[in-house]
Amino acid sequence: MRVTKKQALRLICALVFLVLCFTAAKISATLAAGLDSQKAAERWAAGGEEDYAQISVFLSRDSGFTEESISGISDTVDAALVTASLKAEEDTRLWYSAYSTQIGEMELTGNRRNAASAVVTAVSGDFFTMHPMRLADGSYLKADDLMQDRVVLDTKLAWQLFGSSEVSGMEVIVNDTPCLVAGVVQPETDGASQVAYGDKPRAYIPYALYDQLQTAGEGESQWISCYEAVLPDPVRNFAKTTIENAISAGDGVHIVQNTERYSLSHRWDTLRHLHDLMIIPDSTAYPYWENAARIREFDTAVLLGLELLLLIFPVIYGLRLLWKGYRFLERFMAEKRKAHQRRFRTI
Amino acid sequence: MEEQNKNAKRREHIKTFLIIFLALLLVLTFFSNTILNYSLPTVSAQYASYGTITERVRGSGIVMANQKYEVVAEGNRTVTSVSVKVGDEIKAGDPLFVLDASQNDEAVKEAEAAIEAAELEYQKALLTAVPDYAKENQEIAAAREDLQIAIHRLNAAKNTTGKISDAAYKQATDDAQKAAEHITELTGYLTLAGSGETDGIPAAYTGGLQAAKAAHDAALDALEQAKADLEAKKAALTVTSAEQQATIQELERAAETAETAYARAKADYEANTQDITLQRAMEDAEQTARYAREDADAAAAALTGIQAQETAIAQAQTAVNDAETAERNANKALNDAISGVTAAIQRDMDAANAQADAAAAVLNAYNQQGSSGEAMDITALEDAVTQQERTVQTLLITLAETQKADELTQQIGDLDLQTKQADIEKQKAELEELKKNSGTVTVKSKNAGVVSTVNAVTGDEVTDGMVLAEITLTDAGYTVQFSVTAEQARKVSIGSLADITNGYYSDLTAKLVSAKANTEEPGSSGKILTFDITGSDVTVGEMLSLSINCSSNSYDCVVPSSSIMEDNDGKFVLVVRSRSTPLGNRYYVSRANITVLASDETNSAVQGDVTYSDFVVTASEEPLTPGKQVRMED
Repeated sequence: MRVTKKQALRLICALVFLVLCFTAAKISATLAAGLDSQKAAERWAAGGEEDYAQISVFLSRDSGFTEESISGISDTVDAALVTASLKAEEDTRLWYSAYSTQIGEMELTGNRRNAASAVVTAVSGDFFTMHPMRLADGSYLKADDLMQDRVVLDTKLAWQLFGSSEVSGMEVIVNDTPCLVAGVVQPETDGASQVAYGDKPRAYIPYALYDQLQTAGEGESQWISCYEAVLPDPVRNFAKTTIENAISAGDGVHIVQNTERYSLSHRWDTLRHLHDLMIIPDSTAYPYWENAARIREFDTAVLLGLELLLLIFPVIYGLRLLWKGYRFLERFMAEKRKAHQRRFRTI
Repeated sequence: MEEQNKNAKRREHIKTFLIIFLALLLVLTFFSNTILNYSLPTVSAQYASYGTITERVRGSGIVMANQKYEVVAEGNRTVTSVSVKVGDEIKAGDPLFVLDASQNDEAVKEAEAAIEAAELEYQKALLTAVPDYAKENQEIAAAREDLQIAIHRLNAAKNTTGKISDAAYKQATDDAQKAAEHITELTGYLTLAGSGETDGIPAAYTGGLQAAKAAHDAALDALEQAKADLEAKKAALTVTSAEQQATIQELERAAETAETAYARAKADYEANTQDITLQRAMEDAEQTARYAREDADAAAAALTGIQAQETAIAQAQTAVNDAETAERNANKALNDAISGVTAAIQRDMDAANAQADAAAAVLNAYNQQGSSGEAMDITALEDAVTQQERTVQTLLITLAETQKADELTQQIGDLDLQTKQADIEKQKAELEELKKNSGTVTVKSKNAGVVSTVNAVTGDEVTDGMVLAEITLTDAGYTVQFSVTAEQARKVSIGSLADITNGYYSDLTAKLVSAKANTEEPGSSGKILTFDITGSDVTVGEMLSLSINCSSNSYDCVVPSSSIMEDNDGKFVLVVRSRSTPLGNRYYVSRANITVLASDETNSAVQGDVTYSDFVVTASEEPLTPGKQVRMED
């Protein structure tokens, strides 16, 4: 059977579209995999048999969510895990949580004369377990640190204050309060995180230091803008429902399940409601990692749309080929039957 | 021709494509290691080593002086000039302020008027009356006379009373006789009870005695019967079981011997059945063996009966022992019953003796008095005497109280006078002082120190007692305080020296002297650490940052804190391992589970699957999983 130029062109187009579709899918997967802040559940599961899910809760100041609310949430989650017969092994934790508050800009001074203005975020002890930024020097802040007067700088801020990244143990003045540098972190290098991170340098301080800088005797607990948790997800939506029950979703509370954010079904939903990504509910302010994740949500949803478009021609062509092949087979079988009949007649 | 050209061109294309492909393959093969290395994530690592973990507690505080004193204004004045400012070092006697006494005149007039009024009060208080007790003494004397009269009347009445009557005498005589008869009767009963003859004693005394006697007799009978039974059984036993067993043993041996002889005889006969002698010997031996066996069996059978007899004897002996015990108990009960009878009789005897003694005393008293008399009622007279005595006592006590009160009043009055006089003297001295200070006065420092606050400026009106300045004393030492959490306070120990971290101070030492509850924040569990600062190079108001060592321990395996990671299987570190391959050393990471023993700000002491000299990953470009190949940072 001779193949015409037109047919060859159609075949090549279909193959090219297929390859482009797979390439788009691969790019989408690569973009999603580039966000370490969304893969905390995978890291916690460490390839084990249990399923874990990462849940993020973003809160506005009006939601009234403060440090004092944390122990109540932990108790509710522990009770839910016990009810579901989930128990931690000895010397291990079944789940963990981290919370943070983006305070705003503060003046920091190192051993260089000029002060630098940095965006300061107050973080809880497990924040860096949830967001393991690359350490250029020193170590992360930990919950069981004896002294809660240490800060973590990013490499840009360390350069501005000291002229080097290897500055752990050196003194830095934060809002006229002397502190020590615990470590220096490298911000995430993927495109979305770099866009969301912005140009301003960042510093991370423990909540005890935030209390000292902010209230100075008022005795009030600080509000929390972002609460994240990694907990077991033995059945679909168990983790999200547990957190929703613990936090009592209402005005000013926005809950996200990070783990299935880039699944096919979620990408399809996002594509259908793309405008929702543009809307930030209430007065919630998203931290930069959530903004990076939303950028990638947009990207992967758009890529899904592109994949679907690219699949149209190969699918139609494939169906047409199938139909042609079916007709060819039909004709072939008919000729075979005729030839067989002719032979009998001759005999 | 065209066909040949086309084929030639196609062959050229294929050749070119193959050459390019082979060249690419060669390049990639040569540089595969380099390409592979660059695709691997870079990690930085350090060796786990032996080291110490030292926790430190840090804080900052303002240097304060341990002591200070306040410069106070005397009188209402105006500040003319101020000679010092905050931070000045001064010595004792240095001038601080110059004050003018423009408002002093009114104070002088008020003081003089107050002194005059006080002197008038003093003079009035001097005029006091002397107390007089003539009326009270007279009343006491009259009461004593009345008492003497009442006593005299009582004595006169007492002389005609206290005699025993004839009727009382007759009664006592009858009582004595009755008591003697009863005593005689009871003595007889006691004698009978002592000899054991209780039949003549009334049933009131021998209540439980009969029953005890009957029980004792029954126990005796039972004992005799048990003994008789035992003797009979012992007599029936002729041979003991031990002897019978010895007999059985002998008979058994004889039977065995006879049976052996029979067996031998039988064997001999069977060897030579024609020999009659052997046959007879065999038959004899058989008979002997049979008789011996029968004797042994009979003896064995008899043993059973002997053993049964011995058992019965043992039981009879037990019965005898029990009967003896019962007889002893019954005997003891009988003796107790007899003792009870005796005791009851003795009690009645004692009562009768007492009655006889009382009657005898009355008779004796009657015989001594010589004649009878009538008893007279003297109670009223005795009451009158008692009443009068009380009246006298009351008057005496009242007089003493009045005298004491008057004395106290006098003493209080004297004290008031003294106080008034002292007050007048004091007011006079103050007046003199006011008059003396009516001019300009210079306020001087009493101690050496540093001026910490100045509260007045030139032209200010100051009132008496107002604090003009505060001087911190430099000789009393300095302190620095800052607050810490309860956890941090637990880690430090009193007496430790702290390092000063914000600057170089050549001779300053900081020593932790106390860790007290933080009272400034009620409800807080934190503590305030107080450090004693000594040295010359210190200024009050200066901020010092201190750092104090907590516990310091050595551990076998210390790793940087940045190398410790955690997942749902617990904490772990990634250890870099190497394996050699044909293309060179390949590095990969493996998981080592650990537990953290202690940690400070940079390192942690761990134990688990990691050992001293393992190479642990401290930082990496991207997340690592166990088994992943990595590239070492240069």
